Amino acid sequence: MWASSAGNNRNDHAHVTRVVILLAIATVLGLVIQAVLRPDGYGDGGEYQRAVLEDIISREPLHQGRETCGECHAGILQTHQKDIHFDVQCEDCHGPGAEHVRAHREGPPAEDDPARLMPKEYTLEGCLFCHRRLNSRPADFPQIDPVAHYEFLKVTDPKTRCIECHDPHEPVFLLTRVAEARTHPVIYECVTCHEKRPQKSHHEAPDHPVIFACADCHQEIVGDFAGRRHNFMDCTACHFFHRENEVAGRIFKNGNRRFCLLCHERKSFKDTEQVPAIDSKIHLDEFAELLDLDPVELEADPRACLKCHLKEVHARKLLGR
Amino acid sequence: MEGFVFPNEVHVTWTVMIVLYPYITGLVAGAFIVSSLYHLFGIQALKPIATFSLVSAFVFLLFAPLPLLNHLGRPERAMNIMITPNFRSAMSGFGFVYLIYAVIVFFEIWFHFRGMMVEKWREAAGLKRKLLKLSLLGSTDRNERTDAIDRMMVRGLAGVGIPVALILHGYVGFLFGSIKANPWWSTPLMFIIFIFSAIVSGIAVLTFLYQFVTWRQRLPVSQRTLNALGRLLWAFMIGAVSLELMEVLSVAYEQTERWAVLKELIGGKLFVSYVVFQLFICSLGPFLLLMARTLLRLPQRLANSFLFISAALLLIQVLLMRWNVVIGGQLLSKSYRGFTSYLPGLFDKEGILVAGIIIIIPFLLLRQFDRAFPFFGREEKASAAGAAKR
Amino acid sequence: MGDNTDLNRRRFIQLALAGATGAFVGTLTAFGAPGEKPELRSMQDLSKLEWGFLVDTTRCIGCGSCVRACSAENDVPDSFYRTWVERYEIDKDHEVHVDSPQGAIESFKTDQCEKQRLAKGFFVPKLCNHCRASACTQVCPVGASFHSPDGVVLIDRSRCVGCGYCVQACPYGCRYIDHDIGTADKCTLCYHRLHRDLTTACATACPRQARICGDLRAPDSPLRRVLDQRRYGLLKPEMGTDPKCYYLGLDLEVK
Repeated sequence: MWASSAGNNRNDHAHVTRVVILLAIATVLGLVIQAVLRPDGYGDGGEYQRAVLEDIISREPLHQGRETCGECHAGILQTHQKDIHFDVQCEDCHGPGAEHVRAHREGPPAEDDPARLMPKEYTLEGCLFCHRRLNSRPADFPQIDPVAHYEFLKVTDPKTRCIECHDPHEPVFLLTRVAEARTHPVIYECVTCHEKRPQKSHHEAPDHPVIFACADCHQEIVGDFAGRRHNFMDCTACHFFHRENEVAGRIFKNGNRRFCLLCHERKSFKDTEQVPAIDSKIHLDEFAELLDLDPVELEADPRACLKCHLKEVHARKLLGR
Repeated sequence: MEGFVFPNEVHVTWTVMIVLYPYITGLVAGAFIVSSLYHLFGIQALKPIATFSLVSAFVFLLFAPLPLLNHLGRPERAMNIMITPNFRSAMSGFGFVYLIYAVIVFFEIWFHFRGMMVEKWREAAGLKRKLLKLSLLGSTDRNERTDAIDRMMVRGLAGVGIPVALILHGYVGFLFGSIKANPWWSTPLMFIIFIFSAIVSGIAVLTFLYQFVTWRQRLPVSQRTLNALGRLLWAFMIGAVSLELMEVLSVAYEQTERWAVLKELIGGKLFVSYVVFQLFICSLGPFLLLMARTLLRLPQRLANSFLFISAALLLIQVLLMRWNVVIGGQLLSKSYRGFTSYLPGLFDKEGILVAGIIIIIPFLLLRQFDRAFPFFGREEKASAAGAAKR
Repeated sequence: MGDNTDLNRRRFIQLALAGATGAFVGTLTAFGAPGEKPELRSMQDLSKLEWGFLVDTTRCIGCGSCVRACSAENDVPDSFYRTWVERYEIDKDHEVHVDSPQGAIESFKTDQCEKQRLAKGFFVPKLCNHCRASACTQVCPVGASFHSPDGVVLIDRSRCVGCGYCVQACPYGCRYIDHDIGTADKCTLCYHRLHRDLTTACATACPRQARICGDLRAPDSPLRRVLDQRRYGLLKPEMGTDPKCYYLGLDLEVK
């Protein structure tokens, strides 16, 4: 600093020094406070992060999985796994089961315990979450337009719930276990559409749009079917095709009596003038007597309808019987 | 909502509070720059408003964090930004830069007013005397040299403060400009655009207040100052608007994927606030008025009215610019297929009423400060008295 | 009896918030059946895993089971979504119509285009991509958004201040602010389920096997096998976020 005529040199910037000291103290204090407040082990992969992870995983899963459901509801699970809804989780329709499981494991739960019973997704809207016909859905996925569906089945009450006909655990009463169903390819002959066989390898098959027509391989049966009573139905109405990927899926034959009864069982909400409808119990008993068959055996036979009615569907000789 | 937006985008996350924050820090940066133009670069024409600029910068700075704290989901944890900062984030700089800048401005003011405070201490008694001594950090010596040291400190801090002020406001621009996910925000120019725009708002607010207060209190006004402010305002607004337009025009010219949705944004949801108001009324308007004022010989009263109107319009322009950037960027969907909508409620926690209060309070505080330490009129009265004596 | 279409979404256990300070070693209870606290492996062991996700858009039917399951499992607030399903309908004039009514939590009720005008339609489920170079962790000012050693992007709820920067930075729209707790939130890849040898709630719920979560580094994981056999795409790869969510059958129109 320059010499001055008045005042002591050193005192003249005393105030500056004080400011500097004040700021230095404040900075140190700040760093100390930061170090104190900073969690121990903070930093990537450190103890603090580990503690955060442990806290996150301490959350209890709410969805239990069908094996857990099957611990008590084994019968339902077994039925469910045999049929076409095998990949639909119990909790998809019934909601997460953690409270219910806990209530019963610690149980028995009180009468008014809301977790005692699981909600049952039986409403029409619930089923339509998956099965409403939408143009964007893959064509081979079972989907309906509720209005058209009820018209086709002559259902007169539009509020009829799906479960009146379709058991949600066993919606199509398949006769074969899913895993044992035949694998069915979706690729078929190139030249049926293309004039010349395209220069592509079968490795590129997954990129090919799916164009599946039963008649292309099964001409005889389809031709024969066209002359029979049920010819207004799609093949896939009774033969389910469960697509697994672009190349293959599983095809089911369905001769299950309960499946036939989806259309042919007399119901209060159906108009049964146009579709021949029966009371299955009465019908079976009647015909057991007529044909001199054991009624109990007939009742237990899942293929009972086809014993007499196969000709309404297919020529017996074409099925290799 | 129109078109398709991602389900989580229907709700706008950054509200009008986040529009206010860059607006207020912009006023801070702009006011500080003007103050430094006098204290550091010695532009004498700005002397009458130098102190006012400095104090305004500080008062606005005090209130800058308020809209942010109001917006945070967990404001009680706001200190986390300094306890566990993630320095890869542009926002992490906020805590430290803000603090450092506040210290700089505070002490610049402290050194500036030190002489006056020492005089008041000499005349004071009792509690007031003790408080003054405390605020002087116990050092009550005053002579020519301490005054010289004080002036030097003010100059030094004004110099150091400029880059810090630019960082304090520039980082906000960078914060937006570095978000690659948002096609309206993402540009390397955003940092510079925000700074220029901030300087415009700073000059505008000082001009506006200078003219308003001197008119209200019937104080003489320095025409030289007004002319200097008018020129500075014109120059910086040309810079700011040119940068803003350049940014949009270059995207429009290159026609990359994002131009389709930005065109729809500008022509649709933002047409009124951006095209009509921000560009035409509040940019073109002041540009023409200030051009007339600077290049033509106008009668003084008319020229000053033009300046006043321009300052007011530019204050609105900068606020609109912040709105159009912050809100506009959130109106458009990252799906590039649709737009959502946003209108702050009147009485919401982050609504219009609260926004109004947050903006008004700094001005009320400045008014109180003015009562204790009048900003204007002393220089002019002194020179007028001096002229009368001669 | 089940007349309401909404599943009961009861509020279950709130997260116990750990203290912000102090380190504690994880409790050493055995690996669990649900109900027991699982033991977290060492950070080094965790870093040997890398979780990824696969979405098969050719199989999705837009039923929304995943959205409902996720919402229930993770207590997701109303009108915000950790996962959602978008529907694309491309008509014969090549106009693209996209929608996602409430994230498809109640599926879709109607078609957008008439059937005659429709050329192509499909569903695309979306969720957090758990990017390797995520923008969200880069911009978090307080370090609340972070990568776990096994590659899951998570949020430290005790540290997050709710500024919303991460929500803006995510190019995929996966994040949101949970206004009930004032912090950011997003898909955690059901981290609490992964460490109990369960898979994510959405993958479990999907009736079409359209979602797979797995370890990208294990050569025999179902995820790795599909990725090594099929062709897949990524969302917005030009953003440089290096996402780990792979899409089979990804159409150009999907952004």
